[in-house]
Amino acid sequence: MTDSFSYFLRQTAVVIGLWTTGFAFIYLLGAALAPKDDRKERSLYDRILRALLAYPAGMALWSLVGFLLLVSGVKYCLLSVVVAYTILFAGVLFYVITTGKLGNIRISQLSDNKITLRELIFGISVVLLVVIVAVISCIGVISVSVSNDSYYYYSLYPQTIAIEGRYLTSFDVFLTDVGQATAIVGCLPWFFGFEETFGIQLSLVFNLVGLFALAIWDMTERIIPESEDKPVKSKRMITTTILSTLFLATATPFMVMARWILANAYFMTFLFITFMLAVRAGNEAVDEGSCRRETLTYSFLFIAMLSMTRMEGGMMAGLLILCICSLAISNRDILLYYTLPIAITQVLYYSTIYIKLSVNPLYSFLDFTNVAVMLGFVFAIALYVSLIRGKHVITIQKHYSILLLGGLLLGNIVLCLIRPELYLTNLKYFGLNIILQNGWGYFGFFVLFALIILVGAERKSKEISFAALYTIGFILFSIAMCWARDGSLHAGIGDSGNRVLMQIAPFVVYSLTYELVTFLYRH
Amino acid sequence: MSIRAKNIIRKLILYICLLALMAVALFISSGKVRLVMGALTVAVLIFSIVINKLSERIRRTAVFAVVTICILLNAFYNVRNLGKLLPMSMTTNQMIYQEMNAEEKSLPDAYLRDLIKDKTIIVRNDVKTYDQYDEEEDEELRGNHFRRWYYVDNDYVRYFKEYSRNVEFDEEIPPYKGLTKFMNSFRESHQEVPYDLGYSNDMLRYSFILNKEGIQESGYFWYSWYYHTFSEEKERYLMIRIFNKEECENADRLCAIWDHLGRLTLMTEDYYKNTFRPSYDEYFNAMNQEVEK
Repeated sequence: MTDSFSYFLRQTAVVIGLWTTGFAFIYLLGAALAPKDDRKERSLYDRILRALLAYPAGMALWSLVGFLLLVSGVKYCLLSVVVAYTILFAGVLFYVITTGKLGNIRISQLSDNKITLRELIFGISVVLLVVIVAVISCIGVISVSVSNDSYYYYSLYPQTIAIEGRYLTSFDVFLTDVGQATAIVGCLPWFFGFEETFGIQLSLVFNLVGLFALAIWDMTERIIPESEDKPVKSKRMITTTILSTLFLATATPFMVMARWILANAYFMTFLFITFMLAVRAGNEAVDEGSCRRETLTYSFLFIAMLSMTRMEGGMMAGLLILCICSLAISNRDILLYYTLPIAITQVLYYSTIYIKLSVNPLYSFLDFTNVAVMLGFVFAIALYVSLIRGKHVITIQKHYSILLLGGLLLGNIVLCLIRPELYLTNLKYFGLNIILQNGWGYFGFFVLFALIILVGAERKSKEISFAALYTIGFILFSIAMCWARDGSLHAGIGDSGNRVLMQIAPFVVYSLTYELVTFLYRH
Repeated sequence: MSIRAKNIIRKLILYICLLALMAVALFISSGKVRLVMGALTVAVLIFSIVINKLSERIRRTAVFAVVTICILLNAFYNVRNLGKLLPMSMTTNQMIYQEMNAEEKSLPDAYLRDLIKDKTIIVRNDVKTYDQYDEEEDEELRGNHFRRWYYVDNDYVRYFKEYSRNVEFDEEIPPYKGLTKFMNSFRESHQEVPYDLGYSNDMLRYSFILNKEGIQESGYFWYSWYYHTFSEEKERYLMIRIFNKEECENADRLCAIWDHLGRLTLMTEDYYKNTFRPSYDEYFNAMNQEVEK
């Protein structure tokens, strides 16, 4: 208790450290993946995106390196992590040097490396902002909520991992019920001596708000037509971005997820980042003929992280891939940068716990059947992308979004027919939790308002947008997932099914913004 | 059917569906929420019907106004209700060790871990292996085929070994058999109310991660949790109690004693030697004499 100040300082330092390693990695990766002697000037959007992706990238690196050490059986300790980081960074640097891309590493946008005043101000502002966010998150001015699961799953269990440095059979249901990437984030306090993760989580949530604002900015830039008066467009973009971001930041489900020390905030963030990068990759494919390798490689990192953030992460990431198939991204890219990372993490993890450790808990979320379904799902996606997508059945590609949603709806109907009581109970409590404001506040009402407005609005395009596709898909998929778990949903904020559904807040706000902006400015 | 007619029918169906949903939501909601949201629904519905006839400027302004009202209502709701929905703790202290937890008897072992981290804990025996225990028929734990005494004996010892500075063993420390009755009598005779940290049930639920034997402890927990939850004997929940909490916080050495139900009691070594142990000896001598008579 007396150590609180030192704990705050250490936590702040760790947040800044994660941002710095993430930024270095992203910067190096950007140089390595860009064409030789890349002289293309980075837009302000690109530079802000890099700065905002740095912290989640640092966290993903920390988690994935830890995860790989743990599943490979190498002792997980600070030394092994440092060695792994050194190898990783040295590898990227070596690639940059041997491919002659050293010239791509430039401090300045200008080819002669002269830093302009504008660049200097930008750089200093970013660093200052990182420090301010880290301090605000860690200094204890924002109240947070902890429950038994926060303590046992994301504090005690990570502490045991940090002490043991390996996975043990006795970890038992912790191995089958806890998102391992989040648990590895929970090891940070035990390696750097500050015991808590609230500042790490809050910083990530601030980061998510920033990324959301950037995503809305990018979206409005594409939707709002150029007007003769350029400031008018900028004004419209700024207004939309501010309102939409404020709406998300004040939405009750978002606030609940942000301040409850559990895996949900991490999951929500990495899911949104992967979604946002997919939108970007899709736009790049349309605008430039193919996706930038930089965007795809970031996606590789974040989807791998996402798949291990919660136990159902692989399934949710799989659904995202199915939705990504509606974009113009090539089959090769979907297989290599989206499906492969999930397959790697899932196969490595399941083989470790079920074959190497022979874990077989009496009660757990993840049993053999669920594992078989998850792996089968990833395998089926890979088969669809490599054998069917865009090749044989043209109708599928043409009406892909409708078919996907129809398939999900049909799946839900089948589940309802198999165990109607369970399904209908889940559906009832899903609705009741929203209406009775069990963590939802007025969010449900507001969504209905937006939908009522949109029904009246005459829109030119009747196509289902990618955002709407994923949002509706997420709801249908979550209801199906709740059916698949043991036991039904119940009324209450803490029910895990309710929490999974609350993670949808950023997607709902994003897709409603998309639809409203499209109507208001493309009418 | 013309496209226009199709559109009207489609819109009508969608309106009916959405308004039906809204009606259900309003019906279930409380009075004030019903009033505010009902009024807003009417306004939004009218706006939606006339939206295409409005000028672009008015349309945009109206949408921004609706969103701004939503943001304000969100903020209002959060300020008023978020703390009630989720118990929030300020992180000015480390949240796990907040006094609030001990007062509310939640996360009992969070305090315990903090208490014991720089102390020597004296317990009766070191950890034994699973095969040192016989299988037993235990009516109390219906259906639980796990060897119960293995867990009762060893869970706390493993916990102390992991989280305290040092664990010492002293065979003179009372065994758990017969301890429950003595503890009741001790509390009555000494008028001592130990500091009650609350149920340690969850702590044992997770103490199995410290088990290096590879015994499926979660299974044992699941059975016992299940039967305890649905049993009427709520007293069988595990408890953590501390005699003279403040002295314990300042002491260097603590004695740990638990009964056959896993109710843990902690005290300073001095308290154990000068107060607890003499009473214990006296109690059992009296019991033995009664048996002999």
